[in-house]
Amino acid sequence: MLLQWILTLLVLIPFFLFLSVLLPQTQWALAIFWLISLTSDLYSTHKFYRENPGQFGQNERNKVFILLTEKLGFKKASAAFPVIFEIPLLLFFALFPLQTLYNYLFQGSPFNFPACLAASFGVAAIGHIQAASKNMHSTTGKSTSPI
Amino acid sequence: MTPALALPVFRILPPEALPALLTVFATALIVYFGLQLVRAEGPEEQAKAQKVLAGCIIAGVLMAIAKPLAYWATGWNPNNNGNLPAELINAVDNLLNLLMYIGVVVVIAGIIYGGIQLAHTKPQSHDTPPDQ
Repeated sequence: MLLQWILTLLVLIPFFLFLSVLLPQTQWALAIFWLISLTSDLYSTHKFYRENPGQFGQNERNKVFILLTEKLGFKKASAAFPVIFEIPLLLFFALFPLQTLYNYLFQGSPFNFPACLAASFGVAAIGHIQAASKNMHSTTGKSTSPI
Repeated sequence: MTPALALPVFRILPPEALPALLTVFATALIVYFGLQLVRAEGPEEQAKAQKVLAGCIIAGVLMAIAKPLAYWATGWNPNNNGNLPAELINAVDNLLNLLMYIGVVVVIAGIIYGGIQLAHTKPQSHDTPPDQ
């Protein structure tokens, strides 16, 4: 577990929420950023899936994605994962955890759902960028630690 | 972190920040473990991650002292800024406070985690049989 990457996420969650509330024009940018990072994560995962499809269950860390790949195959699982797992999870983040954070940061302001949703997209995007970076470094044989 | 060790951490932090802190930690962990499609780490990479712990503790200390240091260096006083709206000043103050609390929690959790790792690794080194 690379602790510094969890630390990055910890810092960026309140930062993204703050940014998307104060600058609403960044909300679309965060959603597009999520889409690009998800695509790069799926692309890098596909690279090591092709190396040894039979061992994918041991090589991949995400159990939901392993299950979907076993049931549907890689390409269909790539489309199904964001639809049936990731987007509902991000909606949940926006409605509950980020609402609590929003209430702490902007005390007394009415709940801003689009800003919370954009922040959750931003955090997920950073997670996917981290994963894509790790996958690419692993396939090229470099160290996965940025330090 | 065991409950007995976690209790003093929660006493240091103000009660109104605790739900926000817990949700930030929970969200970060769910994103890290639940959303990332990443190659599983081997034992070597996990050992490497433990070495990074020192860096995390340093980062936590920096986060914990960043707010007072920034106020001191810039001479900015959140109570005396007539040009900016009060809500914005409060929001910035809350954000910086939250980052400071995250830093405090990371430092304490890092020290405890480091201690646990040390306790686990020491007996293993004695138990390994000599190579024949």
